[in-house]
Amino acid sequence: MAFIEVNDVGKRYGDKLSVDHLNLRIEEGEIFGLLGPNGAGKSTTINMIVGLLKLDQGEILVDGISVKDRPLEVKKKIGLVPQDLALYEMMSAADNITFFGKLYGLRGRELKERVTEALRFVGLEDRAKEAPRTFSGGMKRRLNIACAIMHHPKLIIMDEPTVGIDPQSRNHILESVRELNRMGSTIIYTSHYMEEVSAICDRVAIMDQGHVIACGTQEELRDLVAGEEKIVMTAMGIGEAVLAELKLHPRINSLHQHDNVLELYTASSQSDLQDILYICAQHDVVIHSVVCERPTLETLFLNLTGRTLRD
Amino acid sequence: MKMWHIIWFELRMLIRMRVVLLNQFLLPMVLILILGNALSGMISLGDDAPIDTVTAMIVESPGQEALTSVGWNEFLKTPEISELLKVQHGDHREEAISSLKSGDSDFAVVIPTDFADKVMKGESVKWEMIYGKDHSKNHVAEMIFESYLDEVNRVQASTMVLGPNTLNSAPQNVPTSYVEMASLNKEGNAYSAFQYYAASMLIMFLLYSGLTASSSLQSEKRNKTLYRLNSTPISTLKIFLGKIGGNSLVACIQAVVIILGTTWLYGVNWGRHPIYLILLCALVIMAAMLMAVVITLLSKSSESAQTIFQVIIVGMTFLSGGFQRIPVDIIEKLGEFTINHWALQGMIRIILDASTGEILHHVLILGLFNVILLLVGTVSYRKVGYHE
Repeated sequence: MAFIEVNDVGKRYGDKLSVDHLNLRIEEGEIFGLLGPNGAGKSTTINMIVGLLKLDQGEILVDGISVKDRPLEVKKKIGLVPQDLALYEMMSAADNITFFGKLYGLRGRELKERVTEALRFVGLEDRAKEAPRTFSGGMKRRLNIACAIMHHPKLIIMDEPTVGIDPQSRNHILESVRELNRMGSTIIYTSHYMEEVSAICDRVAIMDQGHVIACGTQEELRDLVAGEEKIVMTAMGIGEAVLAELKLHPRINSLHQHDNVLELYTASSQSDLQDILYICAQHDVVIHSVVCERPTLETLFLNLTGRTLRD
Repeated sequence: MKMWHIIWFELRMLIRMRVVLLNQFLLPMVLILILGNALSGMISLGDDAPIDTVTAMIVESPGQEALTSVGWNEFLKTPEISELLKVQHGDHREEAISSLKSGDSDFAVVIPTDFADKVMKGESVKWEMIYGKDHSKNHVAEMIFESYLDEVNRVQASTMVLGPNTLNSAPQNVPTSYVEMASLNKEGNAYSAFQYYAASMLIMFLLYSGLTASSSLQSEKRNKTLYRLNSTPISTLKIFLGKIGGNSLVACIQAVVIILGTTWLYGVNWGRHPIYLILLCALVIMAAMLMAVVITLLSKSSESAQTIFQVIIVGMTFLSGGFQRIPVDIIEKLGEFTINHWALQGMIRIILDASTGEILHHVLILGLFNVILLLVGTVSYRKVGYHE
């Protein structure tokens, strides 16, 4: 049995179907990524796993416990890092963590130790007595995480935890996620930043319009778009003749031109690049740069939906 | 236990807010001071108002003195009357009017020329009374002369029925039996402006604690902390009750601060029924919190909830006479439908050491208000719930 089982779950808001016949299996100890554009159903899925939203259909089990039947039991096992900062700005960083710790049943010395540990983990131990209203955006994000992890949850759900922060804080958070995973927590990480999901997740589910359109390890997902390597060429003198000849090439699947930039999708950039450069030379195209890109999750999403993740 | 953590956290958070300290603790104390001082003249403290001596000019026709002097002089010489009335004698009506205009006299009485004849015939008699400029002095003089005349007429009536022998004996009974100095205020206690406004402002600001509760409930949604709270292993109802509990606790502290503060700083006497005072405060706090529940849950936005709350509190305080008693029938009737009315009247009765039954009557009606609000609050919560 998987640590989290989402079985045929559906959720509707009025006439709008937010999640439709969703099925997921997340194993214990995984960093599982939920990737999709805004409105794909990621947050709805998370809210249903945490028990914040009632399911219209289906069932969710966390560590074998039904969310529907025993929501408070499930909540004890979960630490939720919300997308929006959920902090009491008037109270100190330590007060914020202590308050949530008490709600998870921590008391006395254990509580104090966990608060110190959580503050140290997110690098805020020297700001413990300061109120979050004096913090930078990145520090608030880290405190947001500290409030969710101090009770050592078996499952940590991070809903777009890096929105609107500087690269340094982002790296700190991503490293924290890996560390939490090493410490034994299963992590569900949602984002519409493909790079973040690629960097930390063992397995990824790509969602769109309430459905999981692809799910697997990153390698498995890339295999889905094998033969979709991208060559980006910057050149002068790209005319109709050269475009027509390139289109006739049997292994070039598609090409797009924007001013001096030419994007070509081929089965294999290594074997086809020489042909492409030869055709360009034949038509006196002056090439400034050539970049070969392996397929990414972005490519996969584009391939499956015809849209980019940030659309 | 977890609910208690929410109550305690809420209490700590509210006490750290400068706006809460100013609005719920300092502002009522300042308002009580201002209203208690500024409007002290509107509310009697229970002291008797002094009555000034009235200088009255009596105009008698020649030859009548003998008759009017029967009992009249004795009447004027009684200590109570001589203290109130100083008599001047005039010869004609114009002199009396001139004296009134110049201010030499405060009141004038013209005894008609046929006064003696009428008395002799046993007919009813009347004097012409001419008022001066001072309303209260007119009133005093009029009462004195009317009382004497009433007695004369009583004797005339006796004469007509019982015969002329009664005439000589009757007026001798007049002087002391018809004037008695008394104080209405001795019949019961009165309250001061400070007591009145301490009670009225206490009630108004306890109701305002409901506004703070409403704002706090809304801010959990606005700041997204409710989302996180709901993800913790505690039921939404306990979160909701914890928030209300925290605000109620602040309101309780507020009540204690206002009652003790007004007692020590302004010398307000809150009466000898502290248990009933606590009970009334508890009922007002409960009503404030239930109003917060209903208004918060049924309002579309935080701003509309705040506006509705403000209008209701100020409206109820106005109708109940919390700012100033308005002796207009319709307003007094409408006031009876407000929480403030029953709480204020209950507290005033506590201050005046009224009977237990009288105080309990107000407590019970306030309890009834709470029962109705509790029902509406429960239905609202079940229907709307407390979530982001």
